[in-house]
Amino acid sequence: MSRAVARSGVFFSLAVVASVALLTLIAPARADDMARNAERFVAELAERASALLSDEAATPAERRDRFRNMFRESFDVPEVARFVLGRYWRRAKPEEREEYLQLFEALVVRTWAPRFAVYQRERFEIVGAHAADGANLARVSSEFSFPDSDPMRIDWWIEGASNTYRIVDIVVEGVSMRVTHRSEFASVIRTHGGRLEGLLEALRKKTAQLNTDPQ
Amino acid sequence: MTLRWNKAGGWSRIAGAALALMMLSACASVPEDPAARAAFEEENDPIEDFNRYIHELNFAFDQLVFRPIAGMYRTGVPARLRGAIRNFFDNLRAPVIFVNDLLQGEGERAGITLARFLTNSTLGLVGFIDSADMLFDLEFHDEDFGQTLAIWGAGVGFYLVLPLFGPSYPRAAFGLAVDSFIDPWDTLLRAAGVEYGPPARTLLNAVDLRARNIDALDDILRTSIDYYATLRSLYRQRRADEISNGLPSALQPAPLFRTRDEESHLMPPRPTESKDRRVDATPYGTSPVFDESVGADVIVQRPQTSELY
Repeated sequence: MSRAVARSGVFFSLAVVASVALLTLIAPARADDMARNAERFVAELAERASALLSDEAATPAERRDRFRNMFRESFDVPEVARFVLGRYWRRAKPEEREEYLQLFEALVVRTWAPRFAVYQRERFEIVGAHAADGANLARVSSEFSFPDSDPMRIDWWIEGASNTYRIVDIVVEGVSMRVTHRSEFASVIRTHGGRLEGLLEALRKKTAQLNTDPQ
Repeated sequence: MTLRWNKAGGWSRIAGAALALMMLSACASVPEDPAARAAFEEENDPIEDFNRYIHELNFAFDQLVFRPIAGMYRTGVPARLRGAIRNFFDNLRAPVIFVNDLLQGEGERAGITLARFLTNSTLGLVGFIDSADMLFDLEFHDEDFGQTLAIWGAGVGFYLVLPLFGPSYPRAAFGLAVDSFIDPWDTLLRAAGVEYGPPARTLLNAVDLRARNIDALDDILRTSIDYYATLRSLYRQRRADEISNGLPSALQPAPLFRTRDEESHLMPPRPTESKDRRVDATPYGTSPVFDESVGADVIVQRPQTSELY
């Protein structure tokens, strides 16, 4: 009896030592963690998008609105909007910033949601994920395939910490969404004599026009 | 709009470059404000007024003539046949790609190009079937002499919109002229007395390329507020991506990549050396610094001017 207890004690301590050793071995570096979590985040988004877009019970308009909402939630609009406006952000008055943020969100959602609304689960594949040491930032590489044309390479830049992850850039075939918008907006402001109002006016017109679009 | 062309375009491009050089006399002056100058250098478009003018002409021609033809090609020719035609043209490009692979010191990729050409020209029925990809997993990749010049460290020049041919740089335009000397087929066709061969090839190539970009460009036109500026940025980034062979370069955002000197992040750092696509290389620095414009610690990287696009 006592032998058995002693033996189980030995087993118990061995088990503890073994699991501690195992935990140390598999405890990943922070960067690996970030990459893995970011990859899971993108994979979950893909699953949700798939479920949402194939929901036969919803009308097309409902599906579109839900997809837009999902996009809005998973995309870090304020952070990207600030980057895109660059040096003009700091000069902007509070009410200009507020309107700009709203217009930018409307533009991004109406531009990007339709691009992914044709999404089909079986045509999407995550290729890999990488994170920088010490940064809460990861790049998740993916590929969309099409029946009649070459696959499209899309990298998702994910920023996040403690279970809140957000998309901060979408890079299609090497073309970054935030870099492109930044370049475009700067150009619009410059052609309007360096006035932010010129950009806001153009954004008002464009979002109104995209609003009335059937897409 | 075309991102890449081959043959016959070469001479027109050189003529365009010469024309653009003459227009330099009318070029915009460099802004004195450091932030404005950083933006000016990023756009790399000192002859913007001239470029916008050519862009408008190109756009009108595209919408009235080119896009409709490409649209007819897309609806009139079955997808499989279009794919076969694309394979055929890609296979004809093999000598140019092979030479540029070698000039870039990419022995393995040169081997792939050679193996692909031999396979597809035979098993692939003179190139209409991409049997090298299907049977041996030898994927197509493109190269041109403009990219070779970039690898060699030649400066990109400035943004240049060419009549009919669209966005370019003097370096890229010069590269295409060199490629037309490397390419043997047009010379062979003319020697064989098939005079309509080379222009027909150029034209069909162009229509196919435009047809494949119809949806993407329509979408960009629909959603952009400055089509010209968007295309300029797109071309610059695509070119950098092609030169780095798809390696995620630092031209892509590195979203936390800001500096205390708030404009210097306009300068993209140089892409890393490796040409493998999926590598662990991260393009940004790793020392967090408090950035008051963000209200948080951010990663800072010393800006470098990139020559690689």
